[in-house]
Order: sequence, then C-alpha cells, then structure tokens
Amino acid sequence: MSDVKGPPADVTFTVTVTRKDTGKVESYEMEGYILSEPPIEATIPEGETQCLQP
Amino acid sequence: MSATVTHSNGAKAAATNAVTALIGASGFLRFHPTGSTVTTPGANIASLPFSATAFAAANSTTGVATANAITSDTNATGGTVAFASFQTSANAAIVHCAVAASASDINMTGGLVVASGDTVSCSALTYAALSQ
Repeated sequence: MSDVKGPPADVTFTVTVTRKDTGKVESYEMEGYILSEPPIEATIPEGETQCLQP
Repeated sequence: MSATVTHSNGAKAAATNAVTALIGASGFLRFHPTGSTVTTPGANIASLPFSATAFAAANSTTGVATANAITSDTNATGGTVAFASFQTSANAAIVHCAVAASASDINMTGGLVVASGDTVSCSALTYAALSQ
C-alpha cells in the first residue's frame, strides 16, 4: 500500500442503489478514508543475527 | 514530535491531477467487502465504469477534482460495502479507501448492503490527494 501513504485523501460521493426486488431507490452520501499501511513483518534468515536496538 | 505540512494551492491541484491521471482511460470505480487492500482489492460488489477520462482537472484553488459521468452497474454482484477503489482498465487500484456513510436517507447500521442484481449508481464523486 505504499502508493497511498501520506496525508489522508478526501473522497466523497453519493451512491444510489435501486433494489432489484422492490424497485426502491436508496441514496447514501459516503466518505472515503485512506488507511495506513499495516507494518511489514520481516523474518530473519537462519544463521543471521538480529541487530540489537541501542 | 509532529508537524503540519501545508501545500500551496498549485501543489494540491498538481497532486490530485497526478493521481487521477494514473487511472488512465476507461477505468473503474469499484466497491469491495472487508479484507480488500490496494494491492489486492479482491471481489467486486459493484463495478462502475468511469468516463474515458475519469476526472476533470482539479480545482486550482482547492485541489479537488470531480469525476466525470460514471456508468451504473445494473447487475451488481452484491455484498456489504467496506471499501472503494479507483482502478485502471487493467484492474490495478490507484486509490483505495474505506468508505462509510456521512449522511443517508435511511438507517445504514451494519454498512451498505448491496443485493445481487441491484443497480448501483454513483454521482458527485470528488477526490483530493492532499487535504492541506
């Protein structure tokens, strides 16, 4: 997800759903939120040592 | 320590235009269930084609771009919407975001549920890459 890192973007839109069974029309005002990238889990190969934190 | 980064109007518009340009010709607005990511958007609840040019140029002051006409999906696959993405014609997600209702005309507790065969339309889609 590196290409969405950074300041949160603003996304807004209106979704309209027309129900197939009833014909009812529903409208929703929506907002989007850019999520932070989850941390990358790294593994240390066998035979190598982990650097100690100071 | 944290700091606030502020961009000029020109920078905000340029950033938005750079991102929307990545969608390219004939991209899609797609909705996805929980578990979707930008690298693996996953199942499509509904797939709505953008116009050949997805967004108009960003406002030079606000940096906000408005999407050109979006074609409805008249036969949605269905599911509970948790994410939306702007994708290229080759199905690569350029923008991926969690979505929630900011206001609605009915109670939407539990999320937006789209049934199979429903028609899903989208209007007034705006995007800004930088908020400040």
